[in-house]
Amino acid sequence: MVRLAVLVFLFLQIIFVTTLSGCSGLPSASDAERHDPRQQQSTEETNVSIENDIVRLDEGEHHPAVQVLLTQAEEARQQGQHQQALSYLDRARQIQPRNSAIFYRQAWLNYQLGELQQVQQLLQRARLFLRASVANFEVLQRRIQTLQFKADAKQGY
Amino acid sequence: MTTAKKPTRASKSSTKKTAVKKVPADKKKAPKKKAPQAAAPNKSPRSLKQKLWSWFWRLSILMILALGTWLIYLDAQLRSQFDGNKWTLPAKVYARPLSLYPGLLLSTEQLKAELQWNDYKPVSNVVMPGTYGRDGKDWIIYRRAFSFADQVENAVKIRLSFASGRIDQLTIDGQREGLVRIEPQYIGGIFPAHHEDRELIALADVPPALVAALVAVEDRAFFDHYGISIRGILRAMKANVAAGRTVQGGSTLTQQLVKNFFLTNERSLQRKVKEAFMALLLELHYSKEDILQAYLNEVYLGQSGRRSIHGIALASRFYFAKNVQQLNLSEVALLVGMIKGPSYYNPFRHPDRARTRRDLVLNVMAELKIISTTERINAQGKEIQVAASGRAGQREYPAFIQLVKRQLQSDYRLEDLQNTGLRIFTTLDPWLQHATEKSIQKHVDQLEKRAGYNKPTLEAAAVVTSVDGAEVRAIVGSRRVRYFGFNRALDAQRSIGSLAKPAVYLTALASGRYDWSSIIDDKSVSVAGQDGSLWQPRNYDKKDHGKLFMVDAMARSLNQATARLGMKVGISQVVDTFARLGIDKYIPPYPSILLGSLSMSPLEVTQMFQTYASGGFAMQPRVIQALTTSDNQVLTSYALEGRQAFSPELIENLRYGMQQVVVQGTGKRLGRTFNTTKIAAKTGTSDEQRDSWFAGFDDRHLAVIWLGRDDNKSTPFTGASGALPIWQNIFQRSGLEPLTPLVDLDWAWVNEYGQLVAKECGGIRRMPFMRGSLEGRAFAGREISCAEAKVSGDKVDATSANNRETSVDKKGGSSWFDWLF
Repeated sequence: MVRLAVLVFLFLQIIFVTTLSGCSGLPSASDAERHDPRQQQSTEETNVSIENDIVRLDEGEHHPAVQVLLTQAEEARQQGQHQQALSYLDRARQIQPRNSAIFYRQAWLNYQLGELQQVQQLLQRARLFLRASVANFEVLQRRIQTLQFKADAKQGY
Repeated sequence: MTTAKKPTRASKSSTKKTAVKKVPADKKKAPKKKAPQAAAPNKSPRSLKQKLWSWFWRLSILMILALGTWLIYLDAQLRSQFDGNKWTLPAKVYARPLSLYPGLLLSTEQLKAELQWNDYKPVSNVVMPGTYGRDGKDWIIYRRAFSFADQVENAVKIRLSFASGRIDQLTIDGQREGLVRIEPQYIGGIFPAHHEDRELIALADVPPALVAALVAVEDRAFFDHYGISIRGILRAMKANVAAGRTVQGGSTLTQQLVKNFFLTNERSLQRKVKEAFMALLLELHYSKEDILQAYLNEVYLGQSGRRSIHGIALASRFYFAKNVQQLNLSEVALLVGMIKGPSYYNPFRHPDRARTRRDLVLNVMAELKIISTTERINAQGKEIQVAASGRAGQREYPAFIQLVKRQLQSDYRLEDLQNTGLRIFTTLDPWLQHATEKSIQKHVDQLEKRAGYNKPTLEAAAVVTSVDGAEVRAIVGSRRVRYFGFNRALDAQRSIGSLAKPAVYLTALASGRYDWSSIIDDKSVSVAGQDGSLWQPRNYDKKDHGKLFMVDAMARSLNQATARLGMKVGISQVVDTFARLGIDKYIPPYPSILLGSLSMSPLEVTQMFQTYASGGFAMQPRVIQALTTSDNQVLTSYALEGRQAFSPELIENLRYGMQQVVVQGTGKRLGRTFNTTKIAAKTGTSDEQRDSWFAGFDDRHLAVIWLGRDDNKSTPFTGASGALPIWQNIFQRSGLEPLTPLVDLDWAWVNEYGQLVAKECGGIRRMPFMRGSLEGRAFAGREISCAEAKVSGDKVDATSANNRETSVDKKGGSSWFDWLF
């Protein structure tokens, strides 16, 4: 009987503790984990005029740190500072080394600069890390393909 | 304008200088020659006297002219050196900046260490840049202003909250932000031969108290004299005579600057005269402020290893880990006092002398009413507090710096690196570097003890890179990690042993004729060489293991099976694989290369394994992120490069085999330690155990470890007993992330004949296959029915299929020697 009482008490306590931790701990923990750069993926925008191309480097939804860098890259690009833009993109890549959307943007800018060899290897990486689990992944896939065609055509393949 | 003038001035005066030199010779010869001539015509003594007078005048005029030209020459020399860039500035090398953003996995231990290595001070109230503190669970960091390679950023106050080991929220000056960087740690310089290091500072940035103290102690009449001070010399003479020895120098600050800046340390009258004239000239051309500023930047204040510390800006960082502006009165007085004798008053070695000297300076300051009596008493009551000279903020990373220098020298001249104050932003991760250094030091000592060496015998080297970008995160070139000598990570060419094997298996997989379930034979092998000699490699345990799955030969690093397989796929094909992996040297097509009878540096091995780790991209390990001039113009920024040498799918397939090394082979110990087998690795042991290697990667980092002796003698260690524990320790300190697949492969069960079967029809192992490759081989549902399963043909030996693993398990970790290699 005493054992039963102890058991019941323990059981209640466990429930109490779990609900408590669920209330206080979970929201902030999920916030930190939501932004885990290995988990949070970029999402391409769909309601844009040109479906198979991007207009700006910073369009779409990204990890907050990557978003900051893409915005800076876009500003630099608009001011004609292309090397600067590339270095922001490379910083974004180092934060998310397997984000297909970043590789695509690096390839996209290199294409505008005529660095076709760089475009090829960056697109290979963009394809390697393209995951079907990402929302709107077909958009990114189409964009990668389109850029690939353009780069191949320029190189005379 | 002035620069255009300079060369003409200099060349004019230099031609005159040669004329000047000749004058004294003429002067000596002239009277001798002329005297007899004058005597010959027998003229009156008066005319002789007149003649002598006229000669005297001529000579005097000549001498005045000579002095004049000499002064013009000195002046030109002085101005050309004093205008513009006065000093050669060594290139400054920085680590990667620590980026902070929501979601970043960051231990508070690492955050604290990186802040302290960057000379951030813990305080209870964070109000100054360069300090940090805690506010409840949050961290407050006052980041200093810094010119990063891509932009100048102001000082900002950062607040970080953490949740489950990650940064949860990041606010800057109260605003929520997505990203901020801590300025990178200084990790060394590229110095000219004399190793003179300095940091420049403008006079306006020097605290007035420091300037006042300097003038008070070194040259009170500084603002009144014209470069030399007769009163000063007289006072010094008086003091020296009174004391009976040299207790005071009569040199003004200007003279001291001239001596340090233009002249040598030679003690001669000639030099003293030159010094005095140059001091006068310097005062003529430049303001007192210019001279003071130059003095403060020139002054020598001590030695740190090979580096000499010049200028008060660098000295205050070196001795107190502070900006000059942050120095307190006691520190200001000490720094000024040390000028008299930086090694005699060295506060690290002679704190008592330093203290006496500081108190004297404070007395003088109080006497001259620069400070109040209370300030003096307060400052004199302070202990001499200096930042540890060996602390990380002043630590150099020799092995890494050497690689930086080497990679830059292909694009830049060495003089430019040494002289023009370039700023080099690199990929070094101080936290990983620290982990690597500690692991090597700890384990090399332990292994030596175990081997019974009673004096240092073993050496080690390591390279750590990021798997996706090939950024070099850490390098150690010797167990003596601060040693600037032979860098084994770059320059030791050692036999790679079994580290060559993945290339053999990659060649087999790429041929399309083999997969991991292929059955290969571990029978002894004998190959005749061109010179008639026989190559007969044996397994490490000197046993034959019969027929086995290809994957087991790889996991257990069997020599005989690998040699046979390599001969079958073709040596030239394997050589070709090495080249595609990025090995840029001649590899002779001998059978022995199949088992790694070829020499590489740890860095070259890293490059080879980088291709496996990155998913097939051959990349040069990269150390430089960006290079800027001293005024922050970006010269070059380096981007991710590389070419896809192998398909990701093929590499993923190879990585299965490399993971089996950890699952069941020579790296099994890692699986137990990390509680995951999602690590790809390979052990390497060369002939007679001269070299112990371990190369492996997780989801973030690749590390290659070498252990051996400089005299190339054998050691009691294999790859698994020597280098592996070091690798393991590095990842224990820095954290391990299990590998995630690059691409999905097709999986199927195989029976002991290597046939695809359903599990219940005698399937003994589930193995990966290249996508689509199963369709041709298997029947409906990819697996052959139980009835169709073969019962004859090549079959794995029972011992190698099952018993082997259990026997290993029984032995546990007590002795690896039996199942190694």
